[in-house]
Amino acid sequence: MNIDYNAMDERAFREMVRDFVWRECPPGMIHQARRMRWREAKDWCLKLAAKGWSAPAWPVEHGGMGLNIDKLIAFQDEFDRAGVARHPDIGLSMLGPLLIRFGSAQQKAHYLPRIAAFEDLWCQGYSEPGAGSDLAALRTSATSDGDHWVIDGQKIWTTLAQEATDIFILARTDPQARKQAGISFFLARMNTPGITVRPIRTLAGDEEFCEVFLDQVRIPKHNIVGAVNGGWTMAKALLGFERLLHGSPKLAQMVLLRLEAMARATGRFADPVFVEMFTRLSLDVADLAATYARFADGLKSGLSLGPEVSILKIWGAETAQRITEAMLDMAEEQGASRGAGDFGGAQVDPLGHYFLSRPGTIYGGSSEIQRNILAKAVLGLPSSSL
Amino acid sequence: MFTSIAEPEHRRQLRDSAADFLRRRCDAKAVRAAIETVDGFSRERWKAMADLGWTALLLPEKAGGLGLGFGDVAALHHEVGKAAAPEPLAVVSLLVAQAVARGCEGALREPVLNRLASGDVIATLAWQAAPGALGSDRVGPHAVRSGSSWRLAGRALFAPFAARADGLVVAARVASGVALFWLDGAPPVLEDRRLADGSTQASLSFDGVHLGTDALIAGPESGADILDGVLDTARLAASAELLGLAERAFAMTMEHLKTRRQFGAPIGSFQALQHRAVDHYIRIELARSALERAARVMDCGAAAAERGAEVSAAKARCGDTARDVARDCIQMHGAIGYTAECDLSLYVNRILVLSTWLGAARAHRDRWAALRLRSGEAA
Ligand SMILES: Cc1cc2nc3c(=O)[nH]c(=O)nc-3n(C[C@H](O)[C@H](O)[C@H](O)COP(=O)(O)OP(=O)(O)OC[C@H]3O[C@@H](n4cnc5c(N)ncnc54)[C@H](O)[C@@H]3O)c2cc1C
Repeated sequence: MNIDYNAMDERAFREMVRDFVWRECPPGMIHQARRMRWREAKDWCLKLAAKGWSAPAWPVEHGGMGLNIDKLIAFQDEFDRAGVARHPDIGLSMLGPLLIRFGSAQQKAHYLPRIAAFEDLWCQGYSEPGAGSDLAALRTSATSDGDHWVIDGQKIWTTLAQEATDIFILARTDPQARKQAGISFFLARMNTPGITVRPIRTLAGDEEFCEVFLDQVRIPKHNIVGAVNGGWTMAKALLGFERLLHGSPKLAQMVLLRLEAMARATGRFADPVFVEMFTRLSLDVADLAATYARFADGLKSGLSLGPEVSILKIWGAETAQRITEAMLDMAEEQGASRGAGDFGGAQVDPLGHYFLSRPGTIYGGSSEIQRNILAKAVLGLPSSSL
Repeated sequence: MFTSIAEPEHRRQLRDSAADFLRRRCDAKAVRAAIETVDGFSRERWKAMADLGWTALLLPEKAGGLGLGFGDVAALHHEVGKAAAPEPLAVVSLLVAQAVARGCEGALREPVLNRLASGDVIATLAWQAAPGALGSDRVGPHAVRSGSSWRLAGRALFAPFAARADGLVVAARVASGVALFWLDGAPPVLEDRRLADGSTQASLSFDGVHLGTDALIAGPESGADILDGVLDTARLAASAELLGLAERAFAMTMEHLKTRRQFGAPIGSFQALQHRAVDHYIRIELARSALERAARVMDCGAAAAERGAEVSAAKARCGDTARDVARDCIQMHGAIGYTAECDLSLYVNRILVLSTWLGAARAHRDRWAALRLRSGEAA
């Protein structure tokens, strides 16, 4: 059953997506102010996979929907409007595109179908205690031993590592080389001996990320993507996908809709001061979506992602934060409570959304780092002489 | 840092002894342990605070209190904020005990004040009709006199610690104003909610509650004034705690900026972070000024409108400042700032609660405008 979604009329396409989402998405996945765990998202994920809809952006030949940019945006938009929470997507949004571009034929054939079917859940082993913004300072090492690599070191802030089946790891393969030059990109099963995970509780009270300890972890030689010591190219390409993912209007759109629901239910649209503020935020999101579409369009027509993609990440994350702050303001005393509260009949969790929007300016390259990139690589401003 | 006008000696001593107690009894580990209990605070530490006289700062000396002023209240709560202490000090000693002390002349007065001051009971205040309500014009519960009793009805929102309390003062609308009553025992909790900082807050329903005439603390001739007075006093304390919380969160962040290294340098050497830090330093100094001004005005015995405007100015400034500081301190910490393990989280969560308690910034700016602008007087 091969439908050519791109040939469909947009209205019909949207109706088809909307119908499926409203009919099939479990209520527990709707309007959640936190990252979903696998056990919560599983039913929904498997339904998406069965329908062939788990990887809307991937080419059809790799098990994706092969949507063009307009359809992709419409697809995501229907999910957002229904309030569908983000499911575990690191394999789909980050590793998948990387393998499609840099993976060997065997790697593509092995991993992509498993990712699309949610058989494998990936986590991202980049950051280390001493290597956050300065990722290239990473110290985890990989040494060659016969037909294996032996990995030693520690990762941190690894999102949902406690439920992942696999991890991709940046590790140093040439300790002599210049910072970026001696790094390689590895794939490992989480059940490999030597890997231990310790969950870390967030400010919001959820165990959302982890420390991952790598102690003499032996992985097969072929579990490397790209060339030995060629990992930095991969790391950067993946960060580009990550920035595109986090620069998508999704999070901002979701919280804007919650703000709107709260405001409608409590009659705030009668207040011109509120309307002015809401309009400003709405246009912030609308223009983000338009800018996102421009980038995505460029990608489809074969341009590679330039440093300008930082625009999306900054504007998307900061707009979402402005919106959740407006939610907190509107919630007044109720903004201090944990969990959803009643706002004139609308059930909304302003504090949860506020927390959830905080790390958007930290992960995937902080807002400060993105601004540094734009200042140097795009605007061409000189480096500080201090 | 430039300092404020020198504090009087007794206040400096109060601060020092408070800081010393909190250092010993209320470090981050102790706070963490307390907020994870059902109560959300430590009853043991609460008792120790009472023994130090903290529950009786404003009570007259002949009622066993310390007979101190609002500047002293602000100083104490400033220290309490720096430690992120979760105990219901402002609730019991300022909302409840002050309502009883200012209103009650009858037989209830001595025993209730003694129990409150001793730290033997936790009590709360119920009054609020709706979110954003700031005073006696928006009281939720109501009461009618029938024979030798009062019949209460209606609801009150956001009563702190109500589900953990052993008594409460309830403000109710009566025929000719607002009256205050003392209600012994567990409050009639409708819904109890856990807040960001581990404390709790409940909505209450007074439908079907009957009280004897001896439960009356203050009748309609003084009830509204007393209610507005204690609310403003507690707001002064909350503003002081917010200032303390913001200062400590900021200090922790400055420490992090000096020690955390990336790209071969302390992250505090990056100008983007330096400028952000300086902006918050400025905001904190403004908040300190607003707080000191409000305390001074209250100590001069200002009339209700003058007091209300100054307290609202301080609460708006301290609330917004603390929330902005909290937000950017998370950012400047990086991922570690988003964890519960980092002590910063204790400060952020408490700021998120106190900045809304007894009115968030916008409600207080509206009140300021109503008191200062709409009455035609220039700011
Ligand atoms: C919720 C969450 C999920 C995450 N998930 C993952 C994951 O799955 N996998 C993974 O590998 N990592 C993950 N991370 C880690 C994330 O990528 C890092 O937090 C990020 O790279 C920043 O590093 P850091 O936290 O060490 O902060 P630091 O690098 O120490 O930065 C601290 C502060 O200094 C600023 N700063 C640093 N350098 C400069 C500079 N040159 N100029 C100006 N300012 C600067 C930063 O912007 C920040 O404000 C996650 C983080 C969070 C918060």
